[in-house]
Amino acid sequence: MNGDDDLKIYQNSSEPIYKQIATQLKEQILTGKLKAGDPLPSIRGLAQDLKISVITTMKAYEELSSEGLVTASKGKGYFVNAQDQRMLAEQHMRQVEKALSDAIYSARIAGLGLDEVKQTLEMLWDMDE
Amino acid sequence: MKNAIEIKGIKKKYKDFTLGEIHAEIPCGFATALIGANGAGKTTLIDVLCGVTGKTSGEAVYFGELTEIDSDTLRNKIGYCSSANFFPMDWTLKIIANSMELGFDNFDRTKFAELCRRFKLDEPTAKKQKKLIKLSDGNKMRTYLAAVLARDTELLVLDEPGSSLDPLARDLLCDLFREYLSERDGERSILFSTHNIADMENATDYAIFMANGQVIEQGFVEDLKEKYILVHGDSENADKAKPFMLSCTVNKTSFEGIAFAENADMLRAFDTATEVPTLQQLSVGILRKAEEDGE
Amino acid sequence: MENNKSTLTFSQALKLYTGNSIQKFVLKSVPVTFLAYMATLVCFHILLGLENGIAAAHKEITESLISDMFMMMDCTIGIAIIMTLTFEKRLPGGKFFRTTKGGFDTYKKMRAALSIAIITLVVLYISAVYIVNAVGIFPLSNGFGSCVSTAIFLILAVGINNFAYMIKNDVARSLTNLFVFFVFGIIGILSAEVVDGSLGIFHLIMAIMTVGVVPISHKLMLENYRKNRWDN
Repeated sequence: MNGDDDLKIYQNSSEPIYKQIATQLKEQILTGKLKAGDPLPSIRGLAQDLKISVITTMKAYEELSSEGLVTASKGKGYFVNAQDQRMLAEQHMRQVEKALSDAIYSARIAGLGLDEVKQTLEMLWDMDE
Repeated sequence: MKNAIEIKGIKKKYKDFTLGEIHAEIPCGFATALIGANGAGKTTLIDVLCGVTGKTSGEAVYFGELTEIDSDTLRNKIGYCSSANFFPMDWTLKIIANSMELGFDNFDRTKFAELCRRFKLDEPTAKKQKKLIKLSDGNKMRTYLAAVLARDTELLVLDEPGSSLDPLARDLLCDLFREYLSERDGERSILFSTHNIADMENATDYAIFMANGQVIEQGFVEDLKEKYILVHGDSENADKAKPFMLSCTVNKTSFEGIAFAENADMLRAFDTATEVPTLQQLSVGILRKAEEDGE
Repeated sequence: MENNKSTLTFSQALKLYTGNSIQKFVLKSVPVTFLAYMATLVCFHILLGLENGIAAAHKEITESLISDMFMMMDCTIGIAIIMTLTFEKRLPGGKFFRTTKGGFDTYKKMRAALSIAIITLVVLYISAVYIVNAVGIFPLSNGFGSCVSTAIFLILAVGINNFAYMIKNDVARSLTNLFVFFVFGIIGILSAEVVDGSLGIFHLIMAIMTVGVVPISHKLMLENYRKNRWDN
């Protein structure tokens, strides 16, 4: 079954497991690895494979569902939604704008100027590559 | 969401202990852990739910419609197993298989033999049969599990299944839980009791906490992990933080405890760090509070 | 509360609880008890024979009540051992039995099957002893009369011990069982001796009483058990 072959979870990470799963599946959907109409593994099957509780996989799927990435089909499981690439790009752009606005707000409180913020941005960008 | 069991006000009065009234749900399709200290009433509740013990008052609704535990339909659906002395000690695998077949309609001998092999027990059809009394506690428990899992049930009710198993076996037990739930996707449920949830967290979906014969908290694990937070700080701030916490342990240099997530901001003012608690940490916090309240 | 009806037969109920059907039970217990009787007598022959020779020992054993007594005692011990079988909730298996199909009805059938097995044991065992007596190997002093009388009183004792089952303390109960069997067994032997083996009205009355007492005490025992010890 697609998707769960390369899902990796870290038990001792500070990030909740359901978030780790949701993030990885989201990436697979957005990069096209999981295509529209593809079924996600059953929540209990996935829980079995990853050795975690059923409620955790369920929560991960519910989060994906609330973001419009997948839809639950009664009795049949979760399926990947067709992703409107342009709308997604807009959505992500909005998230970037919000994050930057938050950063600017905090910068002003801390008394940082635009140049310092730009420097920090470049440093972080490089670190993330 | 459907419930495998809906517990409506069940009460059981003994001479020196009263269970109840209990109001709780065992959600369908998930593994529910009944967590509490020894003497909290977990075994009594399980006994009442499975028909081992009669109740004083109250009702339990099974699978949304059945209410009488003394009925073969329901008894066939429920796979009950205790942790010690489940079968007479002079019984062998052969006798166990025979009695299980007589006692229930859905016992599968082939599956039983398979499970015995998988759990590294003897063959139920071997010529030389070993009596249960000669087995280690761990192997006794494996035998009981093989017997109950060889039945096609809809609800597994296990009373302290992990208590006589080593950590590796407990890990295997978690795998068995997931396997059981996965086989009839969504239609099967598990209820198990434990006084130590530590290594069974990863197979627990719903938790019910008990103390002094009462249910003190219940909920889906993921929801509980959002409702509560784990707080650490330096011991000099312990007294300031305590009023906002459920309970905490203080040692020479630091303190740690559980608090409601809504108090997170308040607590951060006392130079503390907060994080998502594990079910084990939650249990300690919630049960400790119950103990302190009871005094 | 509706009482669940068990779909098992009496023999199946017994097999569920003990691993043995009624037939198996009887097949296992009769030869053992009978051999115990034969072994007891042989031992006694040797013991007494050490003094006066085997022939004299044989005469003494068969013309006195010694062989009758042993017939009764070995049977008593056999039954008493079977009657120590108990299925309390706190004992191993107790919880398992209370969750099987049929619930208490299965338990009732098991108890009935157990009584049937015990009574069958008594009848077959004493028949075997009678045959050994009739062909002259180990004659009893009152032959047929002794056998019938002992059988009647031992079965009556089974009935009386149903009442004793209500004793909660395991040790007290087992001792009471043993005591009742011995007392009734001795009465069985002595009552046959008193009439020199020709049983009459007294024994007929005792037989009728037995047929009444056994089922009634059985029913009362079950009611008491259900109320006080099944699912408390």
